[in-house]
Amino acid sequence: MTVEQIDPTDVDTEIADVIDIRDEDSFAEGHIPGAENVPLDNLEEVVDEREWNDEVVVACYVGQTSQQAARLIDAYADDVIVASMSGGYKKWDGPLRQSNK
Amino acid sequence: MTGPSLDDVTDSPDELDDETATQLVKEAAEVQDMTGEVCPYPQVEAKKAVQQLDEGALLVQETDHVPSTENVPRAVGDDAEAKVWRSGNGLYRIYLWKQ
Repeated sequence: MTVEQIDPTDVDTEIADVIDIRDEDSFAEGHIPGAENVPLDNLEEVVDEREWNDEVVVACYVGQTSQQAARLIDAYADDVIVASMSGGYKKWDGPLRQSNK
Repeated sequence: MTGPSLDDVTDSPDELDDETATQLVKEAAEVQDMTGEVCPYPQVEAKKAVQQLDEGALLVQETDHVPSTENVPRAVGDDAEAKVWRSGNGLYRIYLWKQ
């Protein structure tokens, strides 16, 4: 089972929903502006019910667990392009936003 | 959730039966408890441990993080042959034989 990979430099947060599956602490320390934190454990609970944008990019630490998360979203979301951000935050070179937990 | 779970969308290696899995743990050169840990720590520790093993020796990782059952075997690549055991209650063991 494969899932589309997207290079971090090609992630357009204006178009795609960025779903950050890291834990809350990591998200608070710095995340892609506009990203939404849905830790992996929570994702299983909400994946069936939530509305997904037409394009979804899943981001994690190194771009591996995001592949399984992207497959899970893809299994539930019809007509949605779901991609895993290759290399994860380790390769993310863009701006980061901090937030309060 | 009515459809596939994270378990269903994770590409794990072939499974071991309960008896074989239990016996092999006793024969393992090293057992790493990775419960509560997430990527990339289990991958890094598996790669380090496999490098230390003699050819044919077995490393076992215990995990409750389903994606590790795909990501850890992928991380060690051709350095180890991988199998997985599913307890059925959220605990998994990844068996890695040094090649």
